[in-house]
Amino acid sequence: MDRKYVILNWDEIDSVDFDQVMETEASKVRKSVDGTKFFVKFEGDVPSFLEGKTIYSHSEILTILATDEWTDPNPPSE
Amino acid sequence: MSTFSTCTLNARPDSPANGDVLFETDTNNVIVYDGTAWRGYASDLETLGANGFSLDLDGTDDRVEIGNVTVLNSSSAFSLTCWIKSSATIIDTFDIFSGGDGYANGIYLYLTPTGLDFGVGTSYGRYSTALNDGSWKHLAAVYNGSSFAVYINGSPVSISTTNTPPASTVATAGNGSHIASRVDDTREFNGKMDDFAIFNSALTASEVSNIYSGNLYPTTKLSHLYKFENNYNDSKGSLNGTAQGNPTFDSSDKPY
Repeated sequence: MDRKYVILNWDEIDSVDFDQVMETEASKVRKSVDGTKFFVKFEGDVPSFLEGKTIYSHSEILTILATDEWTDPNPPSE
Repeated sequence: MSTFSTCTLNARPDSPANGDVLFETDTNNVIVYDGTAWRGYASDLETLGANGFSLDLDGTDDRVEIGNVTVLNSSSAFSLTCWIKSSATIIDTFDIFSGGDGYANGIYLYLTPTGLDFGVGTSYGRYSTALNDGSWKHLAAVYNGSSFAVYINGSPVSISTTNTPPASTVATAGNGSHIASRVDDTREFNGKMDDFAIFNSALTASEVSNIYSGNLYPTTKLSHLYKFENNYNDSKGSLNGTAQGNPTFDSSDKPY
């Protein structure tokens, strides 16, 4: 089954129902480099708390995550 | 050179004589009959891999967190082995293993668009042939306190080394270790992985070959083994992994 992905602003983290997405808890979601955004993923029907949000396919989210906004181009210690 | 007669564990001779010696081909043990019972002398090699499943990682946030791998802390020699398969485009890196801070004070093994990097701190060995061709590949990365070695499908490959390797890893190099992502939860591996192993010393060429071709692991060197047989358990040590993201297990696409 195809996975779908939704990017949210960090101030929406409390709205996430982790029973309806594949991530398990707020501390384990992948955030953007500046920490202002994160994403969740799901299969099947759109979780109610994500209705109206932009939904990305696997290939679309991979393209987004490869940008500097989501992947720091520098090694961790630099 | 003497050659022992062979048998298997469940087909030992029914009427042995005192002092009979045999080699068990399925256990790789030598057994000696002492007049009343068989006594086994274990091989250091053990068939440990399993191939019911491989781990399928989506390259977004799938990863396996295994915590503090103490054998990698202040280590003057260690090795990593695993099977990987990816046909995805690598824009930055696909991390296979990351520990410590993942770079200057850590350990890393990852695919790049043009090959593979394996490093300790700011020193790393680079293999410069792309590996994301969609076929299963066995990787072995070996560090011995003065140099790096990389093996692909059981054979050593030429690498270039940047910066002089340190004599040992830092004391925190194994902290917060991740399989299939960098320690900062980025650069996730997009593809499949199986039988990820961590060794407490440098593997020899023959040991790497045994793992690749015969699934035979030198048990005294092996510290942690993740077979990914529908779980994230450490079948050698006690560092069971925790999956994040939601990797899946694939029973139809496996390396052997």
